[in-house]
Amino acid sequence: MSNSVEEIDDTDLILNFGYNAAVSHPLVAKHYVRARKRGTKVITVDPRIIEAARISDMHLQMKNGTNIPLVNAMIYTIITEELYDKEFVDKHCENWDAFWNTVKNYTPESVEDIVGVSAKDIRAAARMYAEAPTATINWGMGVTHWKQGVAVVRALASLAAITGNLGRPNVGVNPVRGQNNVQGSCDIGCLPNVYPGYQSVTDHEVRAKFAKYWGVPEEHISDKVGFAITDLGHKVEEGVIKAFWCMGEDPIHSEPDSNAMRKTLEDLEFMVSQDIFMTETATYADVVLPATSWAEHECVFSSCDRGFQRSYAALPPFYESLDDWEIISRVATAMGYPMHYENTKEIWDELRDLCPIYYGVTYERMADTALIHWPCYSEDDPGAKYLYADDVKKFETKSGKAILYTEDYEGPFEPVNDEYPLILSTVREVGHYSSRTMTGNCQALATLADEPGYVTVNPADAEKYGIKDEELVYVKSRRGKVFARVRVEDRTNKGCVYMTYQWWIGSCNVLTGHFIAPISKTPEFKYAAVELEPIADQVQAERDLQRDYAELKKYLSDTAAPQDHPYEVEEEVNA
Amino acid sequence: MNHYIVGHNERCIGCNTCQAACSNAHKAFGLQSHPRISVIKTSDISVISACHQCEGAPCAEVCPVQVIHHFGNFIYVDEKNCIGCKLCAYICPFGAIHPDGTSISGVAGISVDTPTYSKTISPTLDWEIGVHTVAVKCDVCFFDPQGPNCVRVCPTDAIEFVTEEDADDLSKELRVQAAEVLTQVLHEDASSTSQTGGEE
Repeated sequence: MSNSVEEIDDTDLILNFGYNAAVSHPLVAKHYVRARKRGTKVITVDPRIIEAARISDMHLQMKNGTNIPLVNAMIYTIITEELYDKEFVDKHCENWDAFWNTVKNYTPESVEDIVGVSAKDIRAAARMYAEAPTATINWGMGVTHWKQGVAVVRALASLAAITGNLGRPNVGVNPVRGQNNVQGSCDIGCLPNVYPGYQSVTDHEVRAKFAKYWGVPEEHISDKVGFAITDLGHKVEEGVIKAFWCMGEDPIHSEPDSNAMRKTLEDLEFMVSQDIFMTETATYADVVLPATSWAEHECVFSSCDRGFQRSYAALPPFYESLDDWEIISRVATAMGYPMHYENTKEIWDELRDLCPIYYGVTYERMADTALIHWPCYSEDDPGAKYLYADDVKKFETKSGKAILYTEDYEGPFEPVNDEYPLILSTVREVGHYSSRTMTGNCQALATLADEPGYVTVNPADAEKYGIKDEELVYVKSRRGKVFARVRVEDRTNKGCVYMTYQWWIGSCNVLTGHFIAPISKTPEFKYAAVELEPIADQVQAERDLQRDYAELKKYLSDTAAPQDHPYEVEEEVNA
Repeated sequence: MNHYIVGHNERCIGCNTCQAACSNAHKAFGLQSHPRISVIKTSDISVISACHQCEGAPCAEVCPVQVIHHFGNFIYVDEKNCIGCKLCAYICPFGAIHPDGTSISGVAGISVDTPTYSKTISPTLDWEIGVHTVAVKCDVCFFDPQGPNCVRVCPTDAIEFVTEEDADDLSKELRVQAAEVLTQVLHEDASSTSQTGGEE
């Protein structure tokens, strides 16, 4: 996020684009409610009636997957009606001609039918955004989980740039990151192309610095961009990847096309799973390394707005589980590189020494519950609440200028047809986190929602298929077929069904396809062509569901069982 | 007067935190863990719905074994002695009573359910071997000196615990508002009549 979360309270306008804060970040949604009370205007762009839509001044209920033409038409309106910030564009932006060359073809009238929103509303929204003294754009997976996700992000950033909505308080562009500490995993370099602190792996000076610090020859530090998780399938097939170390992730349920992922994991020569509970993915591992949970270890989290915060252990580690950093140190040592740290502070200080943008954030400054935003270059630097404050070299491009960019609209990878006439869009469920490895083991949350999870259907579609609320149905795509419980609701738009990816029986990623956006390598989770199949014998279906779930749980617990035995004995001895 | 909880649609974000807190608090006290609050979502509302603690509670009237009654400032269901006849659930005008039982199969998530005729096919015929279904409804967390747990955890203050004083204040406020609106309307009527020269 270029803003910090608390700035949401004080902005004059929120453009809420493909982002359902109430479900993915209830604590961010709290700021929406506060801002709204203060008089902030809200424009929500989403094909579904989400919580934010209820409290918005405008809801552009567009057709699924038409982000590009909509944003282009908004930019067209702002430019042709001369609502853009000419001074800001002259001083801080480049690539105007090419940008306009694409945008000029997107009159709001010409995209009405594609987007499904009237030209009048598109123009009104564009004016409202451009005319607000301060405006911030918040987006989520509704923007990024698409083939053209990168283009939409760039177009939204260009929209902010041409209206001067960057580099001041309460204005900005905010991809509100999906998962807890996903920002942190990027900050620490869990990306294929950078070392910690966003330092490029292809940069010789960066490699030399890390090599010197770690006391190894520079050739030992990789200069090649690595693979993304979505590369795993075909790289294993090609024999390029032979081993897979999976830390705290259940890709069978969190990546597209579960059946293909199962085959990929089977085909690996060697696999390690480092997790806190037995997942279906962990059952494929040759070695399972038990890690500690957030409650058992101390660490630093990055919040979605680049804020570093310390977290402290509340419990001693269970059984033989170890902190992730200790597991890594021991494996490194066994592989011939003696790695040793006394505590997490030593690791943090090493990170500070190597990453200039984090240098000013010390353990002492983060004591208790303090939060400091990076970049923070020195110990007296307060940290950056918002980015791009520097007026001379405003942006991190070669010229220091924003490169305006958008592109032409392409349809989804797998359009609907007669055989698979419904769009499946995968979304989040507020009560369960990610693939439910953790929250599935929480009694209260399992009481609120359990297998197989819901598929939400518009009342008109439900009538067409003759299915009723709470019934079980099959949802099928070209890749598989799963159970789901029907929720008939008018928040869901016609022609589209929504499923959440928490479920192991009602697993929506059995249905999604391995369609990957070229630059970000993100799957198109928001669009798969599916069909609903009503089930006549509901009693039998309920029994089948119970049987499948019971079998899966038994399989997981049996696979984990061999490690239980010694501890039961040990406990008895201790008692 | 009975105390009760009430939701505010304009602040609710439908996050279900209230339900999780409800489930946890009651389980810890040894009561049924099924959430006693529903979160209602339609195209234009998101708000909680729960027992109104009616003064003339129809659920108490119809209970054949008299396990529903006034208890201090709310309507209490003695879950231990409830026979699970579901009459109260049918009579409740707010649909605030949830028939529920405790499965004998252990912790959810790792449990294996005993054969069941699912609740979704028919709540009345729902059964599971060894499970006794009882009436479950909001009891304003009477056992907790800090009051209803849902109110405390709501991130947007969208749930309010209403007591005599609050209700009294509210009705006073409403009376004042009504008087103001009425005066304004009468005044506008009078002035518009005078402007148009009192044609009628």
